[in-house]
Amino acid sequence: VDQSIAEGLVEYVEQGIRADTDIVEQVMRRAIDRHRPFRTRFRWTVVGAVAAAAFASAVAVAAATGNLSLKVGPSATTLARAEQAFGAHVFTARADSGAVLYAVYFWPATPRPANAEPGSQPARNEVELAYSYARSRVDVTEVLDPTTEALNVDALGPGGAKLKAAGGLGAVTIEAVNGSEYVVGRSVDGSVVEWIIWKSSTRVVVTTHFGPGLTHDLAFALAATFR
Amino acid sequence: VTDQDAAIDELKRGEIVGLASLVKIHQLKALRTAYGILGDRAEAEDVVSDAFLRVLDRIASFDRRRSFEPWFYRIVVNLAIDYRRKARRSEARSEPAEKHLGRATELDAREMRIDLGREIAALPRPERAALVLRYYLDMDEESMATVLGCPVGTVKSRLHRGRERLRRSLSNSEHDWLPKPAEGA
Repeated sequence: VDQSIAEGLVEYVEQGIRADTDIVEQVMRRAIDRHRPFRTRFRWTVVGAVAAAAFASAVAVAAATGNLSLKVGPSATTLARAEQAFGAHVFTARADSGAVLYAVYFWPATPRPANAEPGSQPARNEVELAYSYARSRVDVTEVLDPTTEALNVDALGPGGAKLKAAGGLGAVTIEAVNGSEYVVGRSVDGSVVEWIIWKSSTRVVVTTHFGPGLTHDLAFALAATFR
Repeated sequence: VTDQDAAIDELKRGEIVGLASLVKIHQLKALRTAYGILGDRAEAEDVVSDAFLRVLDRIASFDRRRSFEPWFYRIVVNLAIDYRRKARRSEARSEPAEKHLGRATELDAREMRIDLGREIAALPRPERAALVLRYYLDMDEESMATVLGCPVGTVKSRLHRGRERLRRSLSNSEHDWLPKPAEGA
């Protein structure tokens, strides 16, 4: 499948941009138009450096006072801001779970593309939490399900068709832990849990993805603490 | 000294002609990368032009001991993602990928690629960018994390989700260019 996607993707971009496409003139015209004498550029460099230093100081102070999560990438934010933008409670691991939250992202909803397949859904507001836990990275995504229906997860049945190059898919089961139900995805050999999905009573669908996968006990020692 | 090294030296000396050499070297790959994320040829050209101008503005801070490509593609990818956001807000200049792809209708195999193009274009932005970096630029996950400015785990998660969505939608369509089920499976 990897190879099929790679071949398809390469052909897609090659069809979109022909090999003889040339934007040298376009770029150079714009570059020459906005080319500034060195002294002007130097002044802006100094202004930029001062602004960057001031920003770095502000970040350091905020981080020291615990008001700022680690910033990684343009969409990184704080948990409080993410929750505000998300419009619903964001589930987080209990403080004593051993998981360390090191990044929070918020992806705003986007409209359904004009060329989307019939029946496909627009991307909804999504909060993404990145944890470090048990020598694994745990990526947690949370999306609000507008319906009150039970959680619906696409998965290939264990006896169903398999793609030859996919390496197979691990078993997917529904498990009850502490009175709550979780959808659990395992590795192909079944030795580790790779992901767990559940839906809260507040209609938030929480997906935890473990990389690398964790033992069942370790995975649930974290997943069951989300509140 | 490669052409690229010479071009960077020229730019660092304030000789703008070095930019033309860099554009010649990187334009095709950069344009296809941006196209993979945006699905629109004109937008891809805007983004890559902006990226080269950004290179011109920031070349003084570029550390020659580091590789140019990750630095440059970080600019391209972030501009592509941001451009898309702006475009969505203003609902301007939207030209979906299938407009370019819709001309191809004769060959079955080509139609399958068209479907893949539609599926890629329908993916959420972060997953699309991850797939382009992995499968078109052939980057490993560490490099992708550097370019995307996010943790490796997030890269893995986006790749996983993107692959699964493509696999699900394409296998539902019974495309004959996908790997066939193994006998007895």
